Amino acid sequence: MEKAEQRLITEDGRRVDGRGLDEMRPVKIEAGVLDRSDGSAYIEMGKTKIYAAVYGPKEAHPRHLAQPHKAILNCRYHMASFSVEGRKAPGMTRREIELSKVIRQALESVVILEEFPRSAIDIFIEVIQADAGTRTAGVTAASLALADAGIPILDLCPGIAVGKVEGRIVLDPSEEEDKKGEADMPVAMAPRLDSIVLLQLNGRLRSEEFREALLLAKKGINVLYELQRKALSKKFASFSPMDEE
Amino acid sequence: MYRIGTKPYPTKIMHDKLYELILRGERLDGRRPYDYRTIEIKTSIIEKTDGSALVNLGGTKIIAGVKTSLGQPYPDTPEQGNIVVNAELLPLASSFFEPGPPDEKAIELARVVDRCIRESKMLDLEKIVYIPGRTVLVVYIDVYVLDYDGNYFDPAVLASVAALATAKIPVYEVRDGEVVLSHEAKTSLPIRRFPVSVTIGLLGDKIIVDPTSLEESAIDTSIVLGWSQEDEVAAIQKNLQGLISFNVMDEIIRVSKEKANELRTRLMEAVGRVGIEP
Amino acid sequence: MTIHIRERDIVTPGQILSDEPRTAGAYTYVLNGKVYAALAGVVQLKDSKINILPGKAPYKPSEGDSVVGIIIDSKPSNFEVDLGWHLVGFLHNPRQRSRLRLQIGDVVYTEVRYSGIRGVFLEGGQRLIKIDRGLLIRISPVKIPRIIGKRGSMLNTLTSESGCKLYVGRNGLIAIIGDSPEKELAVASAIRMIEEETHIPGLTERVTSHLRKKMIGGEIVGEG
Repeated sequence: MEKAEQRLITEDGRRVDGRGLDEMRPVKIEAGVLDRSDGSAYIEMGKTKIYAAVYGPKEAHPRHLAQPHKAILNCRYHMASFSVEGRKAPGMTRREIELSKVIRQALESVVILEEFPRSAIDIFIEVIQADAGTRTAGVTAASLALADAGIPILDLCPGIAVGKVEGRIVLDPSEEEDKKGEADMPVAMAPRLDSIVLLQLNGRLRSEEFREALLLAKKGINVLYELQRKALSKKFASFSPMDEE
Repeated sequence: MYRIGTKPYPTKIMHDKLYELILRGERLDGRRPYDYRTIEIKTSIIEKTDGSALVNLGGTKIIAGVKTSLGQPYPDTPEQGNIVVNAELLPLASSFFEPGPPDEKAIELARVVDRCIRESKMLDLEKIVYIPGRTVLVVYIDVYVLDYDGNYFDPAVLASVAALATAKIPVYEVRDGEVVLSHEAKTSLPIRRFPVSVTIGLLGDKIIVDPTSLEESAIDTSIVLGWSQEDEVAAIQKNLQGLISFNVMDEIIRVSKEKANELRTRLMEAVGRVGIEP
Repeated sequence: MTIHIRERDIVTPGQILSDEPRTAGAYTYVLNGKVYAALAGVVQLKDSKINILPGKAPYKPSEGDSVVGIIIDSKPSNFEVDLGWHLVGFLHNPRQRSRLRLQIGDVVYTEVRYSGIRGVFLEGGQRLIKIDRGLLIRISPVKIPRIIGKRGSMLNTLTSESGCKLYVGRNGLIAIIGDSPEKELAVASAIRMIEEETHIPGLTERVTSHLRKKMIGGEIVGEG
């Protein structure tokens, strides 16, 4: 006997986990969580849990990689073996290498690299639990870690995925929606500059759906941006500046 | 506590200062020679694992995750389940760690954790055999150093043991010669003991426990002792170059045994065990 | 001219500060004729500029800065000095002219002679001091002005109360030299206190009583 296929979205627009179509999972964002690094951040989006740390600016190694007029950015997105269902073999996969590149280029769009000639800035993103939306949560945490390190940036870069599930555009797809849905589109932005820094699409969208998805992503990004700003401001709650001697 | 420079260059004045303090029975962060830093143990933090733990030892932060699956036993132990330990010194934890595959220090850490668990007979490996010689439970323990301020051995063992002790694994049964998942609720691993390790640093014949990263740059050498229970050592690793005077070995054993018992009490509280189960 | 913020406002990167490019001060950037914050920090309006005072920021060497560094390499014509941040300083080998014999692992106190496209060059002449004992600590370089205080007042308090000599580097490294480890550690913990305290009023008094308490007891109380 064949079971009726379970629907991911009900008639009245509710998702399996109870969220509305334009609702994101619960989010927690903290800055300055790892003491050894120059800047760090932690993010939880639902069960996705990620640390990001920044080291630098520091001497570029090997020295011939150094640029005389600006800093170089290195980025490593990596997942712990236990972060996924089953167990991921240790070592970098092709997926991790690709995501490291797109995240680096997203951040290169906002870091004022000319401030630190001949040096390197290293960004490490460690996914300790992956439950959809890790690359966008990774960019969100990494840009906050850069700000925490006091590295000049044009803007923070919050990111979120949007998806198409059973013909409907949804914000922040869950792992199940990501797997069974028709499309998944991670987006990260520099919100104050109203500009996109990361954009990928896996799946198919009609042009009207693409526009709708982008606008929905922007809505989520604005919420994350406020949470990032709060995490940063927290450190200055009762700060009183002192004049130079 | 103090990070000097961007790289692990020991400075002469700090080496001299640490030495001067330790000779007086004092330390830079106010601890006495045989004091551990503050320990925090949190368990069940990664839902996708069977067991997990996050341990903070002062400024050192380590996460361990346990996953299990069915697999074949090793040919020389057909009636025992398998343990596989992997450790990584993540570059986000320290400017001293490089990205890339596990280096000799990471592999040493994994193997010391493995020995503490395996040689102490912490797990009753014979109870996780379903079909002798063919199907057993494979227990993967993955250890990641997230923030590093010296001494990764002791928190790595604490995190691994806490993750194992709180793990909930699926129940399997043998049906028609095949191992299948049972409908029974998840169960605990067969735990017999709670091994802990104690890391000792030596300056001449002076002993300190739980050295920080800065102290590690000043000590002459270091030794890790894994204690399986009250009065039994199950793993030892002299993990740095340098000389250990034969005369201090008695004191090393005495101090590490005493500290191991303290750590074990702390660990068992954290995993909600008051006594060792038979 | 529109200024979008007030003195002591907390701002975050990307936040608009003003519509007048001439007001762009420390840690700000100008884009399409508008001034934005490049860092998180507290706004300071000074000499018609908008500056951001960050909680943390990398050290950028500038000429005349006093710095504390660690000798990390010896080349035929110069020493390489780790300033604790991204750039290595070059110290012209002073062996011929000087009484100093420097080795790898030594700590020195000197001045930045040049910082620019060619790198960072340090003063190797009379200004160069080799620090041969004491306690070396590192704090965020942006907190160094607090340690020095107005016209050196905080530094005076630290030295006169403890009897220690302090070498304070703009790069965030500080060497504390006293006649006992208790005094040096008391100064180190007072510096941590100044670094972390958010309320300035009465700070000098609190530092004084902190130092007295720590030194009289002769007891080392750590903060780690």
